[in-house]
Amino acid sequence: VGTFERIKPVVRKEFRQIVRDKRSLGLLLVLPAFLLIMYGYALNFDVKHLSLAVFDQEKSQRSRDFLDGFRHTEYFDVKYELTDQKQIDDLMENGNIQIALVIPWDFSRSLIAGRDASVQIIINGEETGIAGTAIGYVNAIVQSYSTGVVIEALEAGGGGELSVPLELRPRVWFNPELKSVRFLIPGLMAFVLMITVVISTAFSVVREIERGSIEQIIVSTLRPHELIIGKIVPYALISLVSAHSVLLFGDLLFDVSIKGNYAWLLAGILFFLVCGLGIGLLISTIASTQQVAFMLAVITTMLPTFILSGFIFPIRNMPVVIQALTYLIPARYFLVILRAIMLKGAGLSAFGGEMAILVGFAVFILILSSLRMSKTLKKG
Amino acid sequence: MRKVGHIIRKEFIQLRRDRRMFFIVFFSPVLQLILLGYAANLDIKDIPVVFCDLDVSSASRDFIARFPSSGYFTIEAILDRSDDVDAYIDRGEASLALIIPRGMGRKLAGGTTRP
Repeated sequence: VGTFERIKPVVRKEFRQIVRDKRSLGLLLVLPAFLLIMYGYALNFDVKHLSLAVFDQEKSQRSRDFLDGFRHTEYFDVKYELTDQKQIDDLMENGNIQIALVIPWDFSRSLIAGRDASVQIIINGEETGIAGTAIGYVNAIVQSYSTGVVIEALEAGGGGELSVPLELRPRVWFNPELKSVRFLIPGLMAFVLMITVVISTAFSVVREIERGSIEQIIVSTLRPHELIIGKIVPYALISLVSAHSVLLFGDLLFDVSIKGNYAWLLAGILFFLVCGLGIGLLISTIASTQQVAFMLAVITTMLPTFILSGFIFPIRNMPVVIQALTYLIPARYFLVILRAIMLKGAGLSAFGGEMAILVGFAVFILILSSLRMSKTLKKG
Repeated sequence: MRKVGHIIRKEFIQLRRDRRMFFIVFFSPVLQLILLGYAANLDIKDIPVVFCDLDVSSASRDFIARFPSSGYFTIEAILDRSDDVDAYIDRGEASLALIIPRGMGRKLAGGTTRP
């Protein structure tokens, strides 16, 4: 009997077991889409409508002009007009505001006299991401106001019509509105698929050991790698279906469609799924009980895929030792492929290296779990 | 109360017996916190940037030279054709491309606006 003939019954048996267990089949098919929708709406890095308190000590035409810059943007909501500096402390501590602006009483006098006028800006630094972005917005508003004042003064002094010497015309590719959701959705897809896929196979061998059905496999003529492939094929097919439901919801709900080549995307997804399934099987051959298998699956996939893959935290800013660890995370490569195809619509040259590594990773993890499997089978 | 005590002892004995579970429960939270604590960093520094200098003047060179000293940018390449920019962005080798138009230096000296 050839290898293929020996694998077929294993595939059939696994399929039957999955279908019989309606709950885990449902979980496998529905959970990824459910997680994507939930996290997709929850995760948002867009910084908008920051609550602002203003303490305008001067209340002049100029100070109002300056503040208009903050009123006419969706980034800030002027929530409070204060009459006392001390009020800022309370509002900050209670989390009512993220930013406070204090305009000094001599604001316009300094401007007219050509002295530096100082405006105090207090920012809540609890959430560094928001604070950093807020400083950027404030800076832009202050800069444009300052430039206006300088030009006005020069023109009044007889300089003729003037303009800013250097003008920046930014053009954002791939995500023109800079919506964080477009950046996050591909990462979320990788995250959600990795978790469900690893957990689904993490139980498969250890369950047979706990039930004792492993004995039948030991006495059969099956070789370890045949058992591994037989166990992976049905799960790969099912998770390929759920991967497509994830793609569909990403397009329908979050407007992240596939810009590039679908065939390459499919290849990337397939090899990524095989990596995950292989990791699950490897865990299953190592773990002593289903409980341990579950813990190992969570530890090796959840946080690493979330944090070490470049999903949210940029890899190039990590310490070198941690950067080295990120090479062990298949999602790292998958994310480059996903983003290149889905957001950039780029060709193979943008992700060829990552694709090759993902294929190598899949093969390597299958060989490794086959070796572990033969050990498990010998031990009985 | 005594019954609860027995169960607690039994669970402890079981936990200790399963060496892998023991390791997972005690060491993995600490290990994860240390590893991931270093990795979870949203501060952005050393943003890779390519310049496309179509001006090639002392003004444009001066402009470019200001970027690395800020600590936020590292210059990946200085190109002389704007078509070459695409490849850098596609491969993810640069997050930012700055194109300096021809005549910037001249216009700057003359005082009119340039993109």
